[in-house]
Amino acid sequence: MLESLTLRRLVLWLLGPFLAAAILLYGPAPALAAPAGLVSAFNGQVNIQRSGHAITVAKNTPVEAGDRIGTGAKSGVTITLKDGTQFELAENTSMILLRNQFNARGQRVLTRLDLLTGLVRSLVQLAPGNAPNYEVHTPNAVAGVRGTDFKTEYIENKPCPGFPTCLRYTDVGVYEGIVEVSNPTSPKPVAVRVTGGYETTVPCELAPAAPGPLGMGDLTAPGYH
Amino acid sequence: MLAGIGEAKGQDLARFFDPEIPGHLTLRLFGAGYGAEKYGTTHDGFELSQTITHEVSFIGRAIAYQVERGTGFDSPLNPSSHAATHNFGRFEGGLSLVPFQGTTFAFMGGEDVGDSDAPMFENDFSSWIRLRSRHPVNFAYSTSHYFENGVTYGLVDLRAVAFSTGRWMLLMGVGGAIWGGGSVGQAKGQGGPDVGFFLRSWRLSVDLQAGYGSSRTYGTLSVSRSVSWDE
Repeated sequence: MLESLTLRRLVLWLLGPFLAAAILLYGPAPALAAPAGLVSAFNGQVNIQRSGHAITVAKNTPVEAGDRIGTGAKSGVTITLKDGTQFELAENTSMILLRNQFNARGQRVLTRLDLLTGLVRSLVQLAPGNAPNYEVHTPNAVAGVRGTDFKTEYIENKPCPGFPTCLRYTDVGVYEGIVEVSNPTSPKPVAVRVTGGYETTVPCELAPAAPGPLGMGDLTAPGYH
Repeated sequence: MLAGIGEAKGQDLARFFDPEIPGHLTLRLFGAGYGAEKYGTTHDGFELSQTITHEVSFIGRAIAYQVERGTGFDSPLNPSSHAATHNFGRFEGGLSLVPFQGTTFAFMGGEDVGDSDAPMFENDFSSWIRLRSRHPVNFAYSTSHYFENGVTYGLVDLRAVAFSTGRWMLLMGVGGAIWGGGSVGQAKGQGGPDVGFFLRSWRLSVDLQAGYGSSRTYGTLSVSRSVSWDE
Protein backbone atom coordinates (compact mmCIF):
# COMPACT_ATOMS: atom_id res chain seq x y z
CA MET A 1 0.00 0.00 0.00
CA LEU A 2 2.73 2.35 1.08
CA GLU A 3 4.88 1.27 -1.85
CA SER A 4 2.09 1.90 -4.35
CA LEU A 5 1.48 5.44 -2.89
CA THR A 6 5.18 6.27 -3.09
CA LEU A 7 5.34 5.01 -6.69
CA ARG A 8 2.31 7.13 -7.62
CA ARG A 9 3.93 10.24 -6.07
CA LEU A 10 7.18 9.49 -7.89
CA VAL A 11 5.38 9.17 -11.24
CA LEU A 12 3.49 12.42 -10.62
CA TRP A 13 6.67 14.17 -9.54
CA LEU A 14 8.48 13.01 -12.68
CA LEU A 15 5.69 13.57 -15.19
CA GLY A 16 4.03 16.60 -13.58
CA PRO A 17 6.26 19.28 -15.10
CA PHE A 18 5.94 17.69 -18.56
CA LEU A 19 2.17 17.52 -18.28
CA ALA A 20 2.01 21.16 -17.13
CA ALA A 21 4.23 22.27 -20.01
CA ALA A 22 2.15 20.27 -22.50
CA ILE A 23 -1.08 21.88 -21.20
CA LEU A 24 0.48 25.34 -21.45
CA LEU A 25 1.83 24.77 -24.95
CA TYR A 26 -0.91 22.75 -26.60
CA GLY A 27 -3.91 23.16 -24.34
CA PRO A 28 -7.04 25.16 -25.12
CA ALA A 29 -6.74 28.94 -25.30
CA PRO A 30 -7.46 30.81 -22.11
CA ALA A 31 -10.91 32.32 -21.77
CA LEU A 32 -9.55 35.88 -22.22
CA ALA A 33 -7.88 35.78 -25.67
CA ALA A 34 -4.80 37.96 -26.12
CA PRO A 35 -5.46 40.97 -28.37
CA ALA A 36 -4.59 40.62 -32.04
CA GLY A 37 -2.68 43.87 -31.90
CA LEU A 38 -2.64 47.45 -30.70
CA VAL A 39 -3.42 50.90 -32.01
CA SER A 40 0.12 52.20 -32.50
CA ALA A 41 -0.75 55.61 -33.95
CA PHE A 42 -3.86 57.53 -34.90
CA ASN A 43 -5.06 60.99 -35.81
CA GLY A 44 -8.45 62.56 -36.26
CA GLN A 45 -11.67 60.61 -35.99
CA VAL A 46 -11.12 56.85 -35.53
CA ASN A 47 -13.70 54.37 -34.30
CA ILE A 48 -13.57 50.72 -33.30
CA GLN A 49 -16.74 48.65 -32.97
CA ARG A 50 -16.52 45.41 -30.96
CA SER A 51 -19.61 43.19 -30.68
CA GLY A 52 -21.76 46.19 -31.53
CA HIS A 53 -20.18 48.46 -28.91
CA ALA A 54 -17.96 51.45 -29.59
CA ILE A 55 -14.47 51.32 -28.08
CA THR A 56 -12.71 54.52 -27.06
CA VAL A 57 -9.59 54.75 -29.20
CA ALA A 58 -6.26 55.79 -27.70
CA LYS A 59 -2.66 54.80 -28.32
CA ASN A 60 -2.14 51.13 -27.36
CA THR A 61 -5.88 50.35 -27.40
CA PRO A 62 -6.09 46.58 -27.97
CA VAL A 63 -7.57 45.40 -31.26
CA GLU A 64 -9.21 41.99 -31.52
CA ALA A 65 -10.30 39.72 -34.33
CA GLY A 66 -13.83 40.70 -35.31
CA ASP A 67 -13.31 44.41 -34.64
CA ARG A 68 -14.67 46.86 -37.19
CA ILE A 69 -12.32 49.82 -37.60
CA GLY A 70 -13.24 53.08 -39.31
CA THR A 71 -11.71 56.47 -40.01
CA GLY A 72 -13.33 59.80 -40.85
CA ALA A 73 -12.19 62.60 -43.13
CA LYS A 74 -8.54 63.68 -42.72
CA SER A 75 -8.02 60.84 -40.21
CA GLY A 76 -5.87 57.73 -40.09
CA VAL A 77 -4.89 54.87 -37.82
CA THR A 78 -2.04 52.37 -37.69
CA ILE A 79 -2.59 48.95 -36.13
CA THR A 80 0.40 46.80 -35.17
CA LEU A 81 -0.31 43.08 -34.90
CA LYS A 82 1.57 40.98 -32.38
CA ASP A 83 4.11 39.74 -34.94
CA GLY A 84 5.01 43.31 -35.92
CA THR A 85 2.87 43.34 -39.07
CA GLN A 86 1.30 46.76 -39.51
CA PHE A 87 -1.63 48.06 -41.47
CA GLU A 88 -2.59 51.69 -41.92
CA LEU A 89 -6.09 52.89 -42.71
CA ALA A 90 -6.25 56.09 -44.74
CA GLU A 91 -9.08 58.58 -44.34
CA ASN A 92 -12.70 57.56 -44.95
CA THR A 93 -11.89 53.87 -44.65
CA SER A 94 -13.90 51.09 -43.08
CA MET A 95 -12.68 47.52 -42.56
CA ILE A 96 -13.09 44.45 -40.38
CA LEU A 97 -10.17 42.52 -38.92
CA LEU A 98 -12.00 39.27 -39.56
CA ARG A 99 -9.37 36.73 -38.54
CA ASN A 100 -5.95 36.82 -36.95
CA GLN A 101 -4.73 33.36 -36.01
CA PHE A 102 -1.28 32.29 -34.92
CA ASN A 103 -0.07 28.83 -34.03
CA ALA A 104 1.67 27.84 -30.81
CA ARG A 105 5.05 28.78 -32.27
CA GLY A 106 3.84 32.32 -32.94
CA GLN A 107 3.61 31.83 -36.72
CA ARG A 108 0.66 33.26 -38.58
CA VAL A 109 -1.98 30.77 -39.64
CA LEU A 110 -4.20 33.38 -41.26
CA THR A 111 -4.83 37.11 -41.07
CA ARG A 112 -7.78 38.38 -43.05
CA LEU A 113 -8.88 41.99 -43.43
CA ASP A 114 -12.20 42.75 -45.11
CA LEU A 115 -11.96 46.22 -46.66
CA LEU A 116 -15.45 47.70 -47.09
CA THR A 117 -14.39 51.08 -48.44
CA GLY A 118 -11.26 53.25 -48.61
CA LEU A 119 -7.57 52.43 -48.58
CA VAL A 120 -5.46 50.21 -46.37
CA ARG A 121 -1.69 49.82 -46.65
CA SER A 122 -0.11 46.67 -45.21
CA LEU A 123 3.48 46.09 -44.10
CA VAL A 124 3.67 42.35 -43.51
CA GLN A 125 6.37 40.71 -41.40
CA LEU A 126 7.50 37.46 -42.94
CA ALA A 127 8.64 34.61 -40.72
CA PRO A 128 11.35 32.48 -42.38
CA GLY A 129 9.93 29.23 -43.70
CA ASN A 130 6.33 30.27 -43.10
CA ALA A 131 3.86 31.35 -45.78
CA PRO A 132 2.66 34.95 -45.19
CA ASN A 133 -1.03 33.88 -45.06
CA TYR A 134 -2.14 37.49 -45.05
CA GLU A 135 -5.11 38.49 -47.18
CA VAL A 136 -7.06 41.67 -47.85
CA HIS A 137 -10.55 41.08 -49.22
CA THR A 138 -12.73 43.69 -50.90
CA PRO A 139 -16.22 43.07 -52.29
CA ASN A 140 -14.65 42.15 -55.64
CA ALA A 141 -11.02 41.19 -55.00
CA VAL A 142 -8.69 39.16 -52.85
CA ALA A 143 -5.08 40.31 -52.43
CA GLY A 144 -3.00 37.53 -50.90
CA VAL A 145 0.48 38.43 -49.75
CA ARG A 146 3.53 36.78 -51.19
CA GLY A 147 5.59 39.77 -50.09
CA THR A 148 5.71 42.54 -47.59
CA ASP A 149 4.45 46.03 -48.44
CA PHE A 150 1.34 46.77 -50.46
CA LYS A 151 -1.80 48.92 -50.49
CA THR A 152 -5.40 47.97 -51.25
CA GLU A 153 -8.05 50.53 -52.12
CA TYR A 154 -11.73 49.89 -52.79
CA ILE A 155 -13.59 52.66 -54.61
CA GLU A 156 -17.30 52.96 -55.35
CA ASN A 157 -19.36 55.38 -57.47
CA LYS A 158 -16.41 56.47 -59.61
CA PRO A 159 -15.66 55.20 -63.11
CA CYS A 160 -12.82 52.71 -63.07
CA PRO A 161 -9.77 53.98 -65.01
CA GLY A 162 -9.64 52.08 -68.28
CA PHE A 163 -13.12 50.60 -67.68
CA PRO A 164 -15.33 53.72 -67.65
CA THR A 165 -18.60 51.79 -67.48
CA CYS A 166 -17.60 50.08 -64.23
CA LEU A 167 -18.38 52.09 -61.10
CA ARG A 168 -16.69 50.02 -58.39
CA TYR A 169 -13.19 48.70 -58.39
CA THR A 170 -10.19 47.69 -56.31
CA ASP A 171 -6.65 49.00 -56.79
CA VAL A 172 -3.77 46.93 -55.42
CA GLY A 173 -0.31 48.56 -55.51
CA VAL A 174 2.82 46.73 -54.39
CA TYR A 175 5.88 48.53 -52.97
CA GLU A 176 7.91 45.45 -52.11
CA GLY A 177 7.53 41.72 -52.70
CA ILE A 178 4.75 39.95 -54.57
CA VAL A 179 0.98 40.01 -54.08
CA GLU A 180 -1.39 37.62 -55.82
CA VAL A 181 -4.68 39.28 -56.76
CA SER A 182 -7.86 37.56 -57.88
CA ASN A 183 -11.55 38.35 -58.16
CA PRO A 184 -13.69 35.63 -56.58
CA THR A 185 -16.81 37.14 -58.20
CA SER A 186 -15.36 36.86 -61.70
CA PRO A 187 -16.51 34.08 -64.01
CA LYS A 188 -12.83 33.86 -65.03
CA PRO A 189 -10.84 32.64 -62.01
CA VAL A 190 -7.62 34.34 -63.05
CA ALA A 191 -5.01 35.36 -60.49
CA VAL A 192 -2.50 38.09 -61.31
CA ARG A 193 0.86 38.30 -59.55
CA VAL A 194 1.89 41.88 -58.92
CA THR A 195 5.54 42.58 -58.16
CA GLY A 196 7.11 45.56 -56.36
CA GLY A 197 6.71 48.82 -58.26
CA TYR A 198 3.54 47.76 -60.06
CA GLU A 199 -0.21 47.86 -59.46
CA THR A 200 -3.34 46.24 -60.80
CA THR A 201 -7.00 47.19 -60.94
CA VAL A 202 -9.91 44.80 -60.39
CA PRO A 203 -12.98 46.27 -62.12
CA CYS A 204 -16.45 45.05 -61.07
CA GLU A 205 -16.78 41.33 -61.78
CA LEU A 206 -13.90 41.22 -64.24
CA ALA A 207 -10.54 39.54 -63.81
CA PRO A 208 -7.67 41.73 -62.53
CA ALA A 209 -6.09 43.88 -65.24
CA ALA A 210 -2.48 43.32 -66.31
CA PRO A 211 -0.17 45.15 -63.89
CA GLY A 212 1.18 48.59 -64.79
CA PRO A 213 3.75 50.79 -63.00
CA LEU A 214 2.63 52.25 -59.68
CA GLY A 215 1.28 55.77 -59.47
CA MET A 216 1.29 56.72 -63.13
CA GLY A 217 -1.16 59.49 -62.27
CA ASP A 218 1.63 61.27 -60.39
CA LEU A 219 3.78 61.49 -63.48
CA THR A 220 3.37 64.82 -65.15
CA ALA A 221 4.05 65.23 -68.79
CA PRO A 222 7.73 65.27 -69.56
CA GLY A 223 9.03 68.45 -71.01
CA TYR A 224 11.18 71.46 -70.51
CA HIS A 225 8.90 73.50 -68.21
CA MET B 1 -23.64 38.76 -63.35
CA LEU B 2 -21.72 41.81 -64.43
CA ALA B 3 -23.43 44.14 -62.00
CA GLY B 4 -21.99 47.61 -61.99
CA ILE B 5 -20.94 47.54 -65.62
CA GLY B 6 -23.12 49.72 -67.75
CA GLU B 7 -24.23 51.94 -64.89
CA ALA B 8 -21.95 54.73 -66.06
CA LYS B 9 -23.08 54.77 -69.68
CA GLY B 10 -23.71 58.26 -70.91
CA GLN B 11 -21.82 59.83 -68.03
CA ASP B 12 -18.51 60.42 -69.81
CA LEU B 13 -19.59 63.72 -71.33
CA ALA B 14 -21.26 64.74 -68.07
CA ARG B 15 -17.90 64.41 -66.28
CA PHE B 16 -16.77 67.45 -68.25
CA PHE B 17 -19.46 69.49 -66.52
CA ASP B 18 -19.96 67.81 -63.11
CA PRO B 19 -18.03 69.72 -60.45
CA GLU B 20 -15.34 67.65 -58.77
CA ILE B 21 -16.10 67.35 -55.05
CA PRO B 22 -13.87 67.55 -53.15
CA GLY B 23 -11.75 69.79 -55.34
CA HIS B 24 -8.10 69.09 -55.84
CA LEU B 25 -5.31 71.67 -55.72
CA THR B 26 -1.87 70.77 -57.02
CA LEU B 27 1.30 72.81 -56.66
CA ARG B 28 4.25 71.95 -58.86
CA LEU B 29 7.67 73.51 -58.30
CA PHE B 30 10.13 73.27 -61.16
CA GLY B 31 13.51 74.41 -62.31
CA ALA B 32 15.55 73.73 -65.43
CA GLY B 33 18.80 74.58 -67.11
CA TYR B 34 19.86 74.37 -70.75
CA GLY B 35 23.41 74.64 -71.97
CA ALA B 36 24.71 74.64 -75.55
CA GLU B 37 27.61 76.13 -77.43
CA LYS B 38 25.36 78.91 -78.76
CA TYR B 39 22.75 79.30 -76.02
CA GLY B 40 22.51 79.10 -72.24
CA THR B 41 19.45 79.67 -70.07
CA THR B 42 17.89 78.70 -66.76
CA HIS B 43 14.42 79.13 -65.35
CA ASP B 44 12.44 78.22 -62.26
CA GLY B 45 8.92 78.72 -61.09
CA PHE B 46 5.71 77.16 -59.92
CA GLU B 47 2.44 75.93 -61.34
CA LEU B 48 -0.93 75.82 -59.59
CA SER B 49 -3.69 73.59 -60.87
CA GLN B 50 -7.22 73.62 -59.45
CA THR B 51 -9.86 71.12 -60.55
CA ILE B 52 -13.19 72.56 -61.65
CA THR B 53 -14.92 69.43 -62.92
CA HIS B 54 -13.67 65.85 -63.10
CA GLU B 55 -11.92 66.55 -66.38
CA VAL B 56 -11.30 70.30 -66.47
CA SER B 57 -8.86 72.30 -64.33
CA PHE B 58 -7.65 75.86 -64.09
CA ILE B 59 -3.89 76.07 -64.52
CA GLY B 60 -1.52 78.96 -63.92
CA ARG B 61 2.25 79.39 -63.97
CA ALA B 62 4.72 82.01 -62.77
CA ILE B 63 8.27 81.58 -64.08
CA ALA B 64 11.51 83.54 -63.76
CA TYR B 65 13.88 83.24 -66.76
CA GLN B 66 17.54 84.08 -67.06
CA VAL B 67 19.13 84.01 -70.51
CA GLU B 68 22.86 83.75 -69.94
CA ARG B 69 24.02 83.92 -73.53
CA GLY B 70 22.92 83.78 -77.14
CA THR B 71 19.50 82.84 -78.47
CA GLY B 72 17.99 79.42 -78.83
CA PHE B 73 14.89 77.34 -79.22
CA ASP B 74 12.81 78.82 -76.38
CA SER B 75 14.11 82.38 -76.27
CA PRO B 76 11.52 85.11 -76.78
CA LEU B 77 14.27 87.74 -77.13
CA ASN B 78 15.36 89.52 -80.25
CA PRO B 79 19.04 89.03 -81.11
CA SER B 80 21.20 91.77 -79.62
CA SER B 81 24.88 92.60 -79.86
CA HIS B 82 25.53 93.09 -76.12
CA ALA B 83 26.24 89.97 -74.13
CA ALA B 84 24.64 90.87 -70.81
CA THR B 85 22.39 88.40 -69.02
CA HIS B 86 18.70 89.00 -69.73
CA ASN B 87 16.03 88.49 -67.12
CA PHE B 88 12.29 88.35 -67.47
CA GLY B 89 9.26 86.88 -65.77
CA ARG B 90 6.38 85.02 -67.35
CA PHE B 91 2.82 84.80 -66.05
CA GLU B 92 0.41 82.54 -67.88
CA GLY B 93 -2.89 80.85 -67.23
CA GLY B 94 -5.48 78.70 -68.94
CA LEU B 95 -7.35 75.42 -68.85
CA SER B 96 -6.24 71.82 -68.66
CA LEU B 97 -8.46 69.03 -70.02
CA VAL B 98 -8.35 65.29 -69.43
CA PRO B 99 -10.38 63.92 -72.35
CA PHE B 100 -9.61 60.33 -71.38
CA GLN B 101 -7.44 58.40 -68.97
CA GLY B 102 -3.74 59.19 -69.29
CA THR B 103 -4.20 62.09 -71.70
CA THR B 104 -4.01 65.78 -70.83
CA PHE B 105 -4.24 68.85 -73.00
CA ALA B 106 -3.57 72.35 -71.68
CA PHE B 107 -3.79 75.69 -73.42
CA MET B 108 -2.56 78.86 -71.83
CA GLY B 109 -1.90 82.48 -72.62
CA GLY B 110 0.17 85.04 -70.79
CA GLU B 111 2.58 87.92 -70.78
CA ASP B 112 6.31 88.35 -70.32
CA VAL B 113 7.59 91.10 -68.04
CA GLY B 114 11.16 92.42 -68.06
CA ASP B 115 13.70 92.11 -70.85
CA SER B 116 10.98 90.31 -72.79
CA ASP B 117 7.74 92.26 -72.61
CA ALA B 118 5.04 90.87 -74.87
CA PRO B 119 2.22 88.32 -74.91
CA MET B 120 2.79 84.62 -75.57
CA PHE B 121 0.65 81.51 -75.78
CA GLU B 122 1.37 77.86 -75.23
CA ASN B 123 -0.31 74.48 -75.46
CA ASP B 124 0.84 71.19 -73.97
CA PHE B 125 -0.29 67.69 -74.85
CA SER B 126 0.65 64.44 -73.16
CA SER B 127 -0.76 60.96 -73.68
CA TRP B 128 0.18 57.68 -72.04
CA ILE B 129 -0.61 54.50 -73.94
CA ARG B 130 -0.39 50.87 -72.80
CA LEU B 131 -0.89 52.04 -69.20
CA ARG B 132 -1.70 48.48 -68.11
CA SER B 133 1.60 47.03 -69.21
CA ARG B 134 5.07 46.88 -67.71
CA HIS B 135 6.32 49.57 -70.11
CA PRO B 136 3.74 52.31 -70.72
CA VAL B 137 4.68 54.74 -73.47
CA ASN B 138 4.27 58.51 -73.37
CA PHE B 139 4.00 60.88 -76.30
CA ALA B 140 4.12 64.57 -75.46
CA TYR B 141 4.46 67.83 -77.28
CA SER B 142 4.44 71.46 -76.30
CA THR B 143 4.18 74.43 -78.65
CA SER B 144 4.62 78.11 -77.83
CA HIS B 145 4.52 81.36 -79.74
CA TYR B 146 6.22 84.57 -78.63
CA PHE B 147 4.91 87.90 -79.85
CA GLU B 148 8.15 89.60 -78.70
CA ASN B 149 10.24 88.09 -81.53
CA GLY B 150 7.59 86.25 -83.57
CA VAL B 151 9.21 82.85 -82.97
CA THR B 152 7.20 79.63 -82.66
CA TYR B 153 8.75 76.52 -81.18
CA GLY B 154 7.68 72.99 -80.44
CA LEU B 155 9.03 70.30 -78.15
CA VAL B 156 8.39 66.62 -78.86
CA ASP B 157 9.13 63.74 -76.54
CA LEU B 158 8.58 60.00 -76.82
CA ARG B 159 9.57 57.77 -73.95
CA ALA B 160 8.64 54.67 -72.01
CA VAL B 161 8.81 53.40 -68.47
CA ALA B 162 11.92 51.22 -68.55
CA PHE B 163 11.85 50.03 -64.95
CA SER B 164 9.65 50.46 -61.89
CA THR B 165 10.18 49.67 -58.21
CA GLY B 166 8.24 50.60 -55.11
CA ARG B 167 10.43 53.66 -54.63
CA TRP B 168 11.34 54.96 -58.06
CA MET B 169 10.73 54.68 -61.78
CA LEU B 170 13.17 54.98 -64.70
CA LEU B 171 12.01 56.40 -68.03
CA MET B 172 13.96 56.44 -71.28
CA GLY B 173 13.27 57.84 -74.70
CA VAL B 174 14.08 60.49 -77.26
CA GLY B 175 13.11 64.12 -77.57
CA GLY B 176 13.83 67.28 -79.42
CA ALA B 177 12.73 70.73 -80.47
CA ILE B 178 11.98 72.59 -83.66
CA TRP B 179 11.69 76.36 -83.89
CA GLY B 180 11.50 79.08 -86.48
CA GLY B 181 9.72 82.14 -87.82
CA GLY B 182 10.09 85.74 -86.64
CA SER B 183 13.65 86.74 -85.83
CA VAL B 184 14.88 83.14 -86.35
CA GLY B 185 13.57 82.77 -89.88
CA GLN B 186 14.20 79.33 -91.32
CA ALA B 187 13.28 76.34 -89.15
CA LYS B 188 15.95 74.97 -86.84
CA GLY B 189 16.02 71.84 -84.75
CA GLN B 190 17.76 69.70 -82.17
CA GLY B 191 17.25 66.29 -80.64
CA GLY B 192 18.70 63.46 -78.62
CA PRO B 193 18.07 60.72 -76.08
CA ASP B 194 16.60 61.44 -72.68
CA VAL B 195 16.37 59.71 -69.36
CA GLY B 196 14.08 60.45 -66.42
CA PHE B 197 13.85 59.39 -62.78
CA PHE B 198 10.72 59.62 -60.71
CA LEU B 199 10.95 59.25 -56.92
CA ARG B 200 7.53 58.22 -55.64
CA SER B 201 7.64 59.29 -52.00
CA TRP B 202 8.80 62.80 -52.96
CA ARG B 203 6.80 62.97 -56.19
CA LEU B 204 10.03 64.28 -57.65
CA SER B 205 10.97 64.06 -61.32
CA VAL B 206 14.50 64.54 -62.62
CA ASP B 207 14.91 64.59 -66.41
CA LEU B 208 18.11 64.75 -68.42
CA GLN B 209 18.51 65.15 -72.14
CA ALA B 210 21.54 65.61 -74.37
CA GLY B 211 21.84 65.86 -78.11
CA TYR B 212 22.88 67.88 -81.10
CA GLY B 213 21.23 70.47 -83.29
CA SER B 214 21.27 74.04 -84.51
CA SER B 215 22.72 75.25 -81.19
CA ARG B 216 25.40 72.53 -81.53
CA THR B 217 25.88 70.04 -78.69
CA TYR B 218 23.42 70.69 -75.87
CA GLY B 219 22.26 69.30 -72.55
CA THR B 220 19.26 69.99 -70.35
CA LEU B 221 18.44 69.15 -66.77
CA SER B 222 14.98 69.72 -65.33
CA VAL B 223 13.66 68.97 -61.86
CA SER B 224 10.07 69.19 -60.66
CA ARG B 225 8.20 68.27 -57.54
CA SER B 226 4.46 68.32 -56.97
CA VAL B 227 2.28 68.32 -53.88
CA SER B 228 -1.50 68.21 -53.83
CA TRP B 229 -4.39 68.68 -51.47
CA ASP B 230 -8.01 67.57 -51.40
CA GLU B 231 -10.20 70.49 -50.30
